[in-house]
Amino acid sequence: MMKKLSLRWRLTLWNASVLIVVLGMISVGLYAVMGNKLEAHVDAQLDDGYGTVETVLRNSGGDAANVRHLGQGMMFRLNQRGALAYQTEAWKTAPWVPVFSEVSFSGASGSWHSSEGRHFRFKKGGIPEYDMEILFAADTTDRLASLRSLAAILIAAIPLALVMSLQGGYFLAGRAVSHIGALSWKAREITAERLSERLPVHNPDDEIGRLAAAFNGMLSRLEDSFKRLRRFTADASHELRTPLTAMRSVGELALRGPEDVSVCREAIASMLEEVHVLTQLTDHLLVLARGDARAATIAPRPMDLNALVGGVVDELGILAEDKNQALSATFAAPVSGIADGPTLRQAISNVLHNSIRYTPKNGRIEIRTSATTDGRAVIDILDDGPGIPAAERERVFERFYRLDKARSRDDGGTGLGLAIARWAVETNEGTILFLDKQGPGAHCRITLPSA
Amino acid sequence: MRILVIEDESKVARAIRKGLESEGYDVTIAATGEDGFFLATTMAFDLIVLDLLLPGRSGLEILEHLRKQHCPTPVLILTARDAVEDRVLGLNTGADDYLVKPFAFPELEARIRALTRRGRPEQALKLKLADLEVDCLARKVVRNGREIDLTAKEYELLEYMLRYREHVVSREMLARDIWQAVDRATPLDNVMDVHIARLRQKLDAPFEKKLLKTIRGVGFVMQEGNG
Repeated sequence: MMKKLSLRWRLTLWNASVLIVVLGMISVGLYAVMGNKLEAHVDAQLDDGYGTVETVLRNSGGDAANVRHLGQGMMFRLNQRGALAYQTEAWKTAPWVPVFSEVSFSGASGSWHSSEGRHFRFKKGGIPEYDMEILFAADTTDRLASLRSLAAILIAAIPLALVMSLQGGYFLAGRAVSHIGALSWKAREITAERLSERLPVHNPDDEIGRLAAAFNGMLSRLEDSFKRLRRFTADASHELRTPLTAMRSVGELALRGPEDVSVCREAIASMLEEVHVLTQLTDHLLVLARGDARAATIAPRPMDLNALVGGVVDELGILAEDKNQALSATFAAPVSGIADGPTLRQAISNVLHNSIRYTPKNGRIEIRTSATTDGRAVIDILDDGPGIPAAERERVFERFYRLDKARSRDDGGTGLGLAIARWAVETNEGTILFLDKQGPGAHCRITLPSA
Repeated sequence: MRILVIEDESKVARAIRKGLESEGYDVTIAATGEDGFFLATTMAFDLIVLDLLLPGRSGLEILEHLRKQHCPTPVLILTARDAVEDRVLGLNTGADDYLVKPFAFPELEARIRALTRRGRPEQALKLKLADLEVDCLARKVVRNGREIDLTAKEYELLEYMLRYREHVVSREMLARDIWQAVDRATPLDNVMDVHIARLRQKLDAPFEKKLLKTIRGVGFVMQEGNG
């Protein structure tokens, strides 16, 4: 049942129930405090009057005649030696007189309700030296009546407050919820094609505003990934189309030309080269797709990074040698990291290959390993090639992002090397980035958890 | 030597048949899983090339049935590139080797040769081609009576290609067997080219007869003449 109520009704009901509980507690408390106060007041009056009478009697040596002047405003009776000595006018006309013999004042004080609904309080005492008994009374009917009317007002006010709170709460909850309703309408309108739209934020500091802002943040991230996905798809199809176009035109040209075996062989060889490019491209895309799907099998374990880097240097060294570049490797005393060997090797290999590729002939390339004091392993790859402008240092890790569009493809690059390197490092819980470098060239740093 | 090729893509099947027939194999093609299973269980073959992605009956099922019936014929499976599990599953089910599509024909040929134990790479300790002699124990290379000094990689390349002489070795074969590259997303092509260029420089440049040939778009081959 509770589940089916709308948020608006639930808010209203909660609001009302809290109000009822609070009002109830206040009413009960107020009634109790007022009741106590009145009683204390009555008792003080009683004590006061009684005290006066007793003092006068004591000062006059127990002569009842001396209290007559105390006036008719008081209500008391004096017994001396078991018989009535004096009673005030008010006492005489009090409704209990006919039943007085039945009323026993066992304690020092007490209350009495008449059958007409009047209410009195008594105080009893005496002066034993003169064998006197003092019975003092006060009429508390009016006071009790005001307490009763307070209770009546409180009881009447509660349902009224309830009704008002329901109405007000329903109205206020409606206002609050209407923002949410508007948000959800707006959110429903935002589709993959309209991700640039944002939810309205009326007050960024209230809850609804924060909710809208949170949604907007999510939309931004979504929009960003959609944009990247779209660009990636466009780039990928472009990259695929390039070799396909080459294959097609080479094939068409060969068929159109004379029936010459050597020309045909040449065409076929050229087409096969393009097939090789395509195969590599799909291989690289597959590595990334597996990474995206977290389907790659990664088995990180402690390993000697110096040996791994050394292996990569041995393998790629010949490329540097071919360009007459000075490739040096500097290893700090044992540097071990936790990583999956093949994927990390791929990352280092791709970065180093880029360095060799972009550094001109006779350039210098350096690869260094070290361990940081906070227990991470670091691999630095430095070259004195053209470097990467600061604004591009993040983007070079994007798929198909190329600094020099024309050149790298001729070198056989797929434009995915650094994207794969980043995936490979990050999947090993490391970081990869290009740093500022003194002088010309690029400085790539790979940081890995250490063993 | 009879080979059964169970492959549903007719272009691929035709290419395999042509290629293998030119190498002297007797090739039968089955285009569906049912046909393949029927042929495999009713006729004797020396080797089965089995595509795992087949319409009708899956390649794995066929393999399983063949092995259940204790069919001893070696099976080479062809799998899609992203199906690592298939590959593992296939080998566990009883396949003898696998090849990932798209594959280079020289590689298929090399695998088939290895599986059928015919024209298997020579295990000989001395390899010869024309005036080139290689002593595999001493890792010594002599051509026309003159010793040629090679780096370790160059020697490995030469010995490998010499064992496959007259047959083209693809870049994929070299990457896997010489560089032990597990994946193909590493920048090995350029490395390979430089090593081959240097080997050629030492091996062929000083001599008139060229032995190491590049087959553009396919791979490399060690052979005498232009055959």
